[in-house]
Amino acid sequence: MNATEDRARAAMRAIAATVNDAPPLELGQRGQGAGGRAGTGSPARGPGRRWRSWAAPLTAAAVITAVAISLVLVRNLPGGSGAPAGPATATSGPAGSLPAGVPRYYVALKQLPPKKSTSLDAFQYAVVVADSVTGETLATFTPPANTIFQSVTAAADDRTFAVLAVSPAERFQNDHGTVTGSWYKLVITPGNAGPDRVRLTRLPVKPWSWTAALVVNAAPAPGQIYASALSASGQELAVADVPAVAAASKPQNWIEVKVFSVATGRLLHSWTADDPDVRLTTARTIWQDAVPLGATGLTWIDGDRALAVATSSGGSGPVTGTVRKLDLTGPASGSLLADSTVLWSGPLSTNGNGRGGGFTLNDWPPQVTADGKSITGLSYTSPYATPGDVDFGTFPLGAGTADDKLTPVYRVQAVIPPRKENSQAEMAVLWVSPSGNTMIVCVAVSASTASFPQSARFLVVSRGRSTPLAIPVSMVASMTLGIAF
Amino acid sequence: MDTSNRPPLTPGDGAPGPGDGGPAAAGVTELYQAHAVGLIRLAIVMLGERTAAEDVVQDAFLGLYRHWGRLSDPAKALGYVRSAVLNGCRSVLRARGRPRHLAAVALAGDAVESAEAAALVSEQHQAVLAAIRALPGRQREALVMRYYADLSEAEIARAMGVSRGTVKSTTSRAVAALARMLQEES
Repeated sequence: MNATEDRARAAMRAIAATVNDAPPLELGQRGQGAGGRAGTGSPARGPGRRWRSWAAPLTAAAVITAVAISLVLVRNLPGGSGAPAGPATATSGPAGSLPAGVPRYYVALKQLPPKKSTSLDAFQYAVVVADSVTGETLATFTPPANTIFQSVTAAADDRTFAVLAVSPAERFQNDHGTVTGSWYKLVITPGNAGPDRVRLTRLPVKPWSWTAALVVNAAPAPGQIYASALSASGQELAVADVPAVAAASKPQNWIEVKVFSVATGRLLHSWTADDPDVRLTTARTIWQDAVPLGATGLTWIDGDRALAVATSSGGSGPVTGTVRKLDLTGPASGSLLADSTVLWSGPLSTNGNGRGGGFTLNDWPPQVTADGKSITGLSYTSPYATPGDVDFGTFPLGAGTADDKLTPVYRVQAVIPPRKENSQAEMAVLWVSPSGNTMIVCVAVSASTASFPQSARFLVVSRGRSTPLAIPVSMVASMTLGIAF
Repeated sequence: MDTSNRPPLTPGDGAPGPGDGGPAAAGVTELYQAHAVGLIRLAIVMLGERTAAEDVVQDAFLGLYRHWGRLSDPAKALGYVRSAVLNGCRSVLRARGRPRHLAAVALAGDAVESAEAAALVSEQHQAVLAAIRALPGRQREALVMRYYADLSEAEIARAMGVSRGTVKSTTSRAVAALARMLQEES
């Protein structure tokens, strides 16, 4: 046995040794459906079980009643220090109206019902275009043959979107082979009727390919797409990827940012970097590194004159997050590091200890406001406390560290009965206004870390007031990458 | 994790549809008591997270319970469950790999477990485990079954549903890829 095998064996035994007992078997509770925990996918049902668990209202309702999430107003805004220590009365605005400037339409990837014959079913998404006020679905597009929709990005007009698709689906889902990424443009024209109301057309950006691997955090392939972002005007598409250069012997250290014309597909800008501390990988935890296609690492700022690029350092030690500004009025191509300025850089904590206690890995990359002056974040009183408070807020950029300067916009208080020890609340900022004082957020509750959410609330939060949105829980399937406003 | 408030299983307790009642529950329970810890260990090696590992194993035994009546040879039950655990781990890993990025707050329990597990494993081991989880799915499975579970090539082939030759080549590629990654990290 060689040294690598020895190290692998020792490491695997070390983590295995942390398990010394097993919980009681729950055949009765699980088998009855309603009231049982959502599972992780049994061999009898296959991957489609996840979808079916969402489609079982009785099961979901039982879980919802057991796990209460209360939304609590943060008073005395905008000063973060004025946040109350205890719960306050929740304040919700009436459904049917939105604060000024908040986009009304959204495009989401909705998981398709499974077909029994293929293992790909759980990972197929339709593009759904809907009205977040009325709940009306304007259009639904199923993916082209053997293609998977992967992420959505929006312009600022609430009418123009871009969808990233990958094909062939089988290779992408089976972890091997060459796959190709391409983009579609989606335009909503509310005044039109029929098929002209929403149009989905292929963008002229030339598709490119890479070698697929399911877990690619340590070894992404040259050409692999990390993120894409449509400019506020909808006229340009920015893409972050691994450059397809022979020198990329450690492709995880390379990133490239390209800007294309949406009208012609022409490459307008290209910057590259080769630095282990400048990665677009989403380092969630040491166990859950992932490189989702379409990560929110790119944001157009300053009226489409600049791009904010959020990166993090690699390795197994402390992780540093950095937000850079790439000026599009400068050279058309060059070094991403030399041609950018650092807006903010600071440590990312592995959990959110303490109010205002720093940006977490789970929350990175953040949403950057269009004015380029702040990033969104979450902070927790304690992730293990009952109840636990979570603040949605913004951190100012460019003025020292952002660690202790969270300005809370809204607070969620998660309250959970002690018997539901496995439950988990997942929160995300899905959209932020140019100034950072208004957000669209989601709070989703899962029965366990391995199951899909059973309930979710989409809310506009602004100046201490929340407005519920008419978005169903099924749209949680792929957020935050799979929903755009 | 505090599991003291979970109700204990009794044979035939709430047995659902396809299961055949008492004998199924008794047989599955006996197998669970004998092998659950080992299978949770296998799953935590694959997933790195205890709650997910426990859920995968619970689901695997539930699947066995539902199909107990169709099991032609009870002696093969352990192999069935082991394959089911691997399938469950694949599902969890695929779910993690899909484009969904949320800040997650463990309301209680599970994140504490993960944090405690991480604290008990040295940084050096954590780096190796992170590299193992970075391997393509089948390579990771082959490596775990070969070098953690000490299964034979034939047993791995049955669990993965591939030939012994494929197991051999996949394991070899996994070790080579792991060596490359660890060299790059150092």
